[in-house]
Amino acid sequence: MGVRFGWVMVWALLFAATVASAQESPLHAIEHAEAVRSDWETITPPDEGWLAVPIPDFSNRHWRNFNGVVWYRMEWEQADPAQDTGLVIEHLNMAGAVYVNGTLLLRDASLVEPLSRMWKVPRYLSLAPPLLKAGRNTLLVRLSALDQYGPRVGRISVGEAAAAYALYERYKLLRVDLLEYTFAVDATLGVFFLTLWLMRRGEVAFGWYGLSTLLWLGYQINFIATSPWPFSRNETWASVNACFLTLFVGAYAVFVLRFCERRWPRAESAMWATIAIAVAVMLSLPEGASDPYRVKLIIATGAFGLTANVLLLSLTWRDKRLEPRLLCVAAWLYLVAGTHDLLAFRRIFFTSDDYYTDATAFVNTLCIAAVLAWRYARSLDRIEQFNVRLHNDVAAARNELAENLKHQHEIEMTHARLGERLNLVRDLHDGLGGSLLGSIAAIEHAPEKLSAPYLLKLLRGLRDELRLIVDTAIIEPAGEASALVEQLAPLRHRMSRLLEASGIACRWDLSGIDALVVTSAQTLDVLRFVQEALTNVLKHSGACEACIGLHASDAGLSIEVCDNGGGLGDTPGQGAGLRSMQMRAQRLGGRFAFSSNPGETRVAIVGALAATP
Amino acid sequence: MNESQWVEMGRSGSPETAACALAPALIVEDDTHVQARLVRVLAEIGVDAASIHRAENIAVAQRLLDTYSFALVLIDIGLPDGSGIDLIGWMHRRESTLRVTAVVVSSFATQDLILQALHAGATGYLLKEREDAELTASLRSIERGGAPIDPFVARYILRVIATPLVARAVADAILPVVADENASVPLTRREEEILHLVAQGLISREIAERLSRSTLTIEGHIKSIFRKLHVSTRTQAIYQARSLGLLPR
Repeated sequence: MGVRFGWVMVWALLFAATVASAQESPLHAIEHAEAVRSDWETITPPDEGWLAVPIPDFSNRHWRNFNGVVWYRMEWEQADPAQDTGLVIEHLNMAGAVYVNGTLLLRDASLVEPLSRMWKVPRYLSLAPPLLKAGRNTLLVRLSALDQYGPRVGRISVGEAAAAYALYERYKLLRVDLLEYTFAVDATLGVFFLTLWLMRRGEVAFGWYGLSTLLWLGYQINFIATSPWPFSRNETWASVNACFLTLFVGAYAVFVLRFCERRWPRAESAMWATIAIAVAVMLSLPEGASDPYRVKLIIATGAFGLTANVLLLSLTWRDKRLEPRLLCVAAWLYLVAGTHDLLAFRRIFFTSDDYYTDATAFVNTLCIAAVLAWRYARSLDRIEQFNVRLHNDVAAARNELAENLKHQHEIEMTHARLGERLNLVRDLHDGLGGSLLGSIAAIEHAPEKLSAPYLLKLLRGLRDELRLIVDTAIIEPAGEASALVEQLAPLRHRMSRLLEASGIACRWDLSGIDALVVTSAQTLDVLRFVQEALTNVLKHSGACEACIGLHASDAGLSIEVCDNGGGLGDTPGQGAGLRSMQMRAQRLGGRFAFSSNPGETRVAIVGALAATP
Repeated sequence: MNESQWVEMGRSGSPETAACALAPALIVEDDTHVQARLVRVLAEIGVDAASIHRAENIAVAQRLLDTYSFALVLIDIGLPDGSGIDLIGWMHRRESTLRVTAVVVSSFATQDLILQALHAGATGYLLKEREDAELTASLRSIERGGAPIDPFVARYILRVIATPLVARAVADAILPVVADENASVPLTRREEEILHLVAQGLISREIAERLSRSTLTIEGHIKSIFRKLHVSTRTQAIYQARSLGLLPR
């Protein structure tokens, strides 16, 4: 498929190139002339030595190895001199001047070295009376000929101005405009791909393509430049130009390898070494001696370029993907055009100096640019797909994490609930259970003491214990530890109201406990201590004032309950209450203090919870 | 008293503290021991035993409320034929019983129900497991025109007013038809301050000392807070009734 398409393209181009030679009827093609040679300085043509030659004509057919001026004299019949008439010259290689009926009408900037490089440029002259005469008119062309560069007078037509101008434009399109466009596009693409490579060093094929394109421009400028600047001679220009072509083919060959994802280090090194030597030799040859070598270099380079394309075709022969196929089209074109050019260069089979590589280079460039753009877009696609995949992976990981966290949270919740239940059971067992056992023991021990008030006292004790457990369980239903000040509030409120109802004024003095966080067991011990102390005040003291103090500092928590009652007399059961409070003090890690005098009774824990932060 | 008056009252510095008669009283309670205890407590603060009526269920209570005019009704929450809260709601829907002081008698374990009762319009609540002395003190407070309060109720109200979102979450959990943020009646700064002190365990006298006000004033504030709880519920109910077309807009 790629092959067939390649041939179609080739035929289309050949057709386009040959259509220019089809002459239009309002135009008269001048096909015969007389020619004579002279040296560089001659201003008028010599009288002797004229030869009959065809037009177009390579002057070095008649005068081999001649560098100098060749004069061409032609005549044509003009029926009506008043008609708008145009004269078209396909090109003058390398430069020249044009006279009509002895009048100079056109002269290139420099007719001696550094000779103007006008070899590609078509010319158009508008002719009118009095210059134009009825009947026979004479056209004289002074051609500055350099033997090595195919000195030539191109096709010449004269006739109706509009038709002549249309022909001129067609020549110009093929010989100048197209080349300039190609040059601009190549320059852009070369810089673009080279920059791309600079940004992404991994894309070596892009880099080599950019480089080869820029080197190609160094060669292609041969078709565009109109002077040998910055060199003083066209010979130097041509040598440098040939070097660029050689370097281009080298870079192109590496591009082909990289494009096919190949690396042939030894072959590549050998190639570059060869190219370096060839270029060095080319540039070191003295003026006047370089041309034979240059011709050989161009032929060798051209052959090597064709080899590189054959290599590309063979490496991608079985590849079904689009990009190698596109590149194959380019390679076929290149192969055909290159073969033609090589032959034309040596005037074998083709005798025009129209080189196809420059014209097909445009198509070539487009193909390769399309391939590389395709590849670039595909890698962008890959990046985007990767992003999507990454995004999905991240989302999946996040979901998984969320699931895990949720699961973990559930486990933690279950543990917390279990822990709470255990706490509650422990509180019930230690507190209420302990009180119950104590009450049972007391009744068993002394059943004779079992009076209604005594029983009531035991039951109230149990109720108070239950009250505390319920209070603490409700205030902070979740978590191991809680703020003591919050847990204290229900007890404080309840005891305050009870004391008040009993006519005992109470004063609470809290300091430093706002931030105190303690475990539920510790809370219960603190609350029980306060509750027992205040119950004693309520039941036994006969006081009218009570004060409760809780102070927390670095030295720990101190709890103090005092009243102004009669103190502890011989009230039965007092001993047990004190023992119980002492036990709580021990459990809180504090020292229990008790003093009782008429008018002042005080129970306290000092330095409790000292180790608790 | 209508809603705008409540709002007006909320703005004013000191609350209305009209004394509240305790007799004749109705005790709605199915447990005879508790009945006897409540009679004893009421008698202790000077209520004539002859003016105390008893009902062991809602049906009897409604019949008695229809027949007689009571100043005070003590209502147990768990009654054989329904919830005491429904009875409070019923009372508040009737012109004749609208102004009767309804006091819930409950155990602490049903604190959610106490809050619902306050929303339904209860003036106060008594906790069964408390000492007689405490019950007496609470009833005296009601008689003076105040209302007893515990730290847990104060905490609840503070949470409800603290942030509307939390309020709604808490309210939804406790009571399906509690005030939403639009319908709630804002507390005054003084009322909020009092609630904070109650939540810390301070009693009315201590708060009064700290704020340099009388105990009665403080208790009056608490009563007005309870009313706002009820009003916010009622506002919500009216709003819903209107949106359902049960009431003229």
